[in-house]
Amino acid sequence: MSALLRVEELRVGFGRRGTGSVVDGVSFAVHAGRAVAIVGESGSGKSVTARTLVGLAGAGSWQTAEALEVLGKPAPLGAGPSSRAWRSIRGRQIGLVLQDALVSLDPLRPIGREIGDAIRLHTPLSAAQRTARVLELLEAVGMPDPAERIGQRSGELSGGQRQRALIAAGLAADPAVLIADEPTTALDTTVQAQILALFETVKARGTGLLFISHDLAVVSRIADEVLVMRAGRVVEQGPAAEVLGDPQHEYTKALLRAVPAGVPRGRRLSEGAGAPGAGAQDAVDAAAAASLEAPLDLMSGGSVLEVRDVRKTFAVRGRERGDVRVAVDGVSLEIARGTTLGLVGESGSGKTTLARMVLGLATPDSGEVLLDGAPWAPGPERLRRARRPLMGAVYQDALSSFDPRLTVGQILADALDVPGVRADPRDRHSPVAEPGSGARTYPSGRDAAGAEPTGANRAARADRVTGLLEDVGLAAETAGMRPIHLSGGQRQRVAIARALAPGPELLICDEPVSALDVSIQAQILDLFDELQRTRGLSYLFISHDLGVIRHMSDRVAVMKDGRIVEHGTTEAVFASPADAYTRTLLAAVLPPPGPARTL
Amino acid sequence: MSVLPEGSVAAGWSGAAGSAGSSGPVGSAGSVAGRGSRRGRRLGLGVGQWVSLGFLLSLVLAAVWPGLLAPGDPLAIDPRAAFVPPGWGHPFGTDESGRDIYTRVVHGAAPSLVIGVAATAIGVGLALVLGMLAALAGRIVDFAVSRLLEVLFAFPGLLLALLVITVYGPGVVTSTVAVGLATAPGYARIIRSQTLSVAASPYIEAAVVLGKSRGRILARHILPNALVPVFVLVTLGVGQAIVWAAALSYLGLGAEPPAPEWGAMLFAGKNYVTSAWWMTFFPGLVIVLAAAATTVLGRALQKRGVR
Repeated sequence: MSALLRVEELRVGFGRRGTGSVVDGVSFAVHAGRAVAIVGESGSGKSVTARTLVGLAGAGSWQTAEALEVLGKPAPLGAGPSSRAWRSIRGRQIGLVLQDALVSLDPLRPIGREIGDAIRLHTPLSAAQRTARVLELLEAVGMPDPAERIGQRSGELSGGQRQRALIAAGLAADPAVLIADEPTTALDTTVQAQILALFETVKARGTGLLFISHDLAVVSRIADEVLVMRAGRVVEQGPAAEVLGDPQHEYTKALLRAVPAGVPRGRRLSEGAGAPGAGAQDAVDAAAAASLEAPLDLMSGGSVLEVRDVRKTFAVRGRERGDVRVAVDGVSLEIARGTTLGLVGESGSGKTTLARMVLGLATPDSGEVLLDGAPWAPGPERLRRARRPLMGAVYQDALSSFDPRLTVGQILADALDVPGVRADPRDRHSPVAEPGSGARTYPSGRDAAGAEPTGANRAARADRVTGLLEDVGLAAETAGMRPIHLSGGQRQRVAIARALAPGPELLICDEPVSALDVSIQAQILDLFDELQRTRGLSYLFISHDLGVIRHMSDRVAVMKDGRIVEHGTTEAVFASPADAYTRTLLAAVLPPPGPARTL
Repeated sequence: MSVLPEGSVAAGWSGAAGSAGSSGPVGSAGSVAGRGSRRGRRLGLGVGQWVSLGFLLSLVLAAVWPGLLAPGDPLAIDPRAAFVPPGWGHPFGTDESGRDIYTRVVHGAAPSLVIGVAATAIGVGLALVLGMLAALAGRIVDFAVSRLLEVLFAFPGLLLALLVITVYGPGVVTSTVAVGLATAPGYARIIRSQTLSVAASPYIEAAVVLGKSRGRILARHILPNALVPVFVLVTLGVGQAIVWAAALSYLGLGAEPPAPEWGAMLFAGKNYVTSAWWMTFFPGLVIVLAAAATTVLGRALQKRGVR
């Protein structure tokens, strides 16, 4: 069987020809009804590879290949992106589905027109025939009410519907090969499962698929052949079952290990690199085992956070007066000292609104939040301020949570310079901390805060900043840098250091690893884990990723439409979910790839 | 009440969360490349920008120490040397009383620059109060201030300045204040919107979570970040204020002849445009150059400000 798309030794770079290569010798072939997947982290060159195959490598790039054939004919490699040769290939022979459906669809045009464009360009169909074909396509991609959706704009559609519309546009001219670049990354778990099922039917119809993803679980579900890319090179290539089931290359193994799903709580996900006190892996493992064996010990301190029946509604604009949307509808939670409560739910379920009420940033309509058993919210900010150091927050987008004018050192010094900053959590909060390195003793925070910045004081402050950076595994030199110059993982470490600065008991972490690559995510999750052990922290850990939640949490709460539909220990919820929605959610989770894990 | 309206904070939070998913990793890769070029551009002024900087520095020198560039007396009359065209003895020529135009232009730098800078300072100062109030003091104040600004916007700036002068009488001080008042609404609007967007940004929320007081958040985070774009506008605005102040003097509402002020010199020369063009040409030229130089530098700052 001849290949629909064949690539030999593809090289792409930016800059002078032959220099600055970002794709370095990639070869593969896509056959009818088969799926090839390129896996890699950001910057690995996987997206550039995909774009080069449709002549969209980008301005200032050069491309060479020993062979690049589309349907047996050589592709016009090196021709301009808008050249006639490429335009006849794009859409007609190779369809492209991009990641971010919200950005990839024209917000001002109905999706019917968007999809119809692809048909108009490549077929001689009349307008009426085109409409019929668009309806057919929308039906084929499982769009609900296609006749109604055809006239709607992208803003009126949900994320899953937009992605379906994009796939329909990619399939419109019935291309032989469909390239999909991270098509499920922005989607909720259940929607992702539906979209993947759709790709399977596309594949079954005989279309060749090239699938670009960073998500190994997604890849293991859909791919027949897998290429693992790193820094522009293919480090491992072969049938999916072999590559994912019995990886040979260290990098592939590390990637698979970094997937948190199914890894028991307390076990490290990343290799020692970059983690503080990396040499003491055995000690950490021992401590992990200890903490797993004696979790009740930690809970003796009672609950650090109690949420009692909070409710929050928002006025809906444009509708009738008094119309409200219920964001959080009577939620009660409790977090025992030193433990993690995982809060899981899909987008729009009210997780973030709940987090904002816990943080005292949004006022609940009714209900109350208690911190350390004392009233916390609702109430004036003035009364909360003195106890703010007890609670920290880590956000998904670390960069935007930093004042852009400040360096890392200034950000941390700023966080230390708050009245009531505590040098260290009280002893009873860190029962396993004695041998660890985390029970650092700082110069007393109360002396530093409020006093005039004398020379000695400034030196002490600099010491504490260095100490914080060390605690989160960053070099002291980082203090002089601006967050914009740091990588995503480093930024999140700085965000964690800032949250730790006042010596909190509880951290509210809202999707803290969702924007990170899987190996970086693993390091950050390990850091959270370690800090919990050494400092006796409690976490409210919010995520849409069930694998992350399962790995991190002692107890889990499942949220849907503003309500907690299920609440219990992690084992109980995952092993025998009582609620129908939880079961749907769990069923949609892709099994972790790689060598079988004992769950 | 908290520092910020609750709704706007919610928008900032969810907006950031939404964009992070797609741009996070890509952004980090791009910023690494961005750092090198930022370093390289630190003093990379173009030729035009160097010339502008040089011209403005010489204007400042002329304002601070006019005797160094033109030792003569700008008011000394010499009827025998009236209407001398530009030449060796008088590089810019002389006026109807034989006063040296070059000396007068150099000595005119001080009042023009002082009026330009002072008017801009008045405008920005007033705008700061109005803009911050509108952004942070709640809905009613915002409504009142915004409507007031809209009314002021309805008048062309110079007309507004004329209105002030009509009420309070002509003079250097009045025209300075008038120009300041006339520019305030523009600055106030920008400061208001800038303050609103900064106040709604996640890093302000992060500061609230850290337990910072409202005053500290305002002083350390909101004010400096809201002022960054204003700083650029001020550079642009000084040039505009110089032009306006000259315009008022030309109309006889600011400095009066024979004071060596550029606008007043234009006014004095206007009757002799056909016979002694240099009387209006050279003062006019420095006004144009001063405005152009501040604009060129302001634009350069603006471009650099884009992260």
